[in-house]
Amino acid sequence: MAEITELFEALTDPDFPFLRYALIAGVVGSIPLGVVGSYVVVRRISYIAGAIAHCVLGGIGAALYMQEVFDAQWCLPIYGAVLSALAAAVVIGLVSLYAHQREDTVIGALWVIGMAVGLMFFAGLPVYVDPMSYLFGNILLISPHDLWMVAGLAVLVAVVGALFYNKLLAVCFDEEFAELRGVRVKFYYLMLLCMTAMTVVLMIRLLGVVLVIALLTLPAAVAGNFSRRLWQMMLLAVLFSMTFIAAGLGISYIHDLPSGPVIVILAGGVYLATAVGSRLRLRG
Amino acid sequence: MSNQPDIQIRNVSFAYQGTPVLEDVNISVGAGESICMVGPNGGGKTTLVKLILGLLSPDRGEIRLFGQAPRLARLHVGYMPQHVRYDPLFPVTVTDVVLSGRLGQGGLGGFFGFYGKADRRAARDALCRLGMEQFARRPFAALSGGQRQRVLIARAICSQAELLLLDEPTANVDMVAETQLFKILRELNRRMTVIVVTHDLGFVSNLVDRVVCVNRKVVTHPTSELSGRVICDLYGSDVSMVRHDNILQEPTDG
Repeated sequence: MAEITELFEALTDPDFPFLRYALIAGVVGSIPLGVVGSYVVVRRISYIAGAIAHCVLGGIGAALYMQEVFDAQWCLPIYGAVLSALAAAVVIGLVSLYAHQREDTVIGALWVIGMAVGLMFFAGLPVYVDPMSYLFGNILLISPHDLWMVAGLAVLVAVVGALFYNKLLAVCFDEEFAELRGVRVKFYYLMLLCMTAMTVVLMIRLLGVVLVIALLTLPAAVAGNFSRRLWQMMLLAVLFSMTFIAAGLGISYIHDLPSGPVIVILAGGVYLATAVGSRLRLRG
Repeated sequence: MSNQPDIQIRNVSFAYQGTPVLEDVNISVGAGESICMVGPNGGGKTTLVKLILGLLSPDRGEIRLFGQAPRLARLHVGYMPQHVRYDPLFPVTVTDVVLSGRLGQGGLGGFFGFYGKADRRAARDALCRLGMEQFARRPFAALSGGQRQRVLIARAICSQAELLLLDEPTANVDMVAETQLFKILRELNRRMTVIVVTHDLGFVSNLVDRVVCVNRKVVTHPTSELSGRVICDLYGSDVSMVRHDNILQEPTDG
């Protein structure tokens, strides 16, 4: 119990803001994670979301390189991340729409190229910057400015997701039929990928390029076991995501463990348990 | 609309990467007709359907749907696809699926894809017409193959369609469901043009006015002409038919 008390003291300590920022970023960020993640899971594009996330490292590397080598201080890593994520979303989206053969090979190639380009930029920097914090997240890097951006994204995704819910649902369920009903399916598909890209970018501080995909897909996958409609899945996914992040941050603080991996292992463990549980329930 | 055919196909040819699938196709389908398209696998049935819907464009020739380019007029078509490549765990109810047939309307609500009271009523009516109203709140994934088929037909008809286009409605459906489907289609044909694509000749011979045989070339027969010889020509060999009525004779020659 002493640890729990200590945790709450840490959360309210004015000289110790990073844990509070991480919790706020995680709880608010769970809204886009849960909503976009549900679309990603039902549309079966988690592989595409993974490729977009890894391409972000290229943009971060390029932005850091601009800052260090060309002294372009305005060129923050977040700008590079946003640009590369949106570019990756559009390119990968077009590839998956038009390159019908070996789509997975092309996307896999873009995935590693984006990441490799990023690591080349990191290697070329005159000072050493550890890519680990971008790969696996570092809550010490979260600033109040980031919180505003996460909140802005949460509002944007919630509004777009609610307004175009029926059309996005139709596109995810039966693309051909949606097209015949006059829905511009390619546009909505690319919009979905761009929302995925923005969600990935803003959660990178907390979870990193590699781990963010876990929190995009696992809460939605767990929620899918308990939902019969897509909006229920989204709502539950948001709640699961909030729970995983809050509990993961608490455990990592108390036991002095890296927060990103703790959150992901927690989410993955619950997912496996519910997957096994629902199989057993079906048999029995 | 009455003197203009619902579908007018003139001299249409189509090839997939150089392999001809359809050659010099001419069909005209009038309002209120019931047509069946039959033919062997790979004969071009689904390609013809996609051309009619404007999902593919012909290499040569012209297709008019209600006198317009297919892309502009396809909102008037209620379409039931052969395969829905949906995720079997997809969280939608039967009503969610049927309501998506109401997309594509004008105005602000149509822009966002909101469903109003009229849409919900149309979805309920469509489900009633197919005897599926008690399943309205069930998860779509929990239905049997025949029930899903009927939900997809409900989705097709609730769009205020003037033409119903069903691709293989009897695939994966047992004989009881097939008989029910047959009755439903005859009932629907009173209000709209019905085109059924099938490989199941027994299913259609009682239902439709004309049979369109699609095997790269397209030949139209009145149903009364449908005999063993036609079927032999169509499939290129003897076909042993399992029948539940006795209009057609088992082919003995060829």
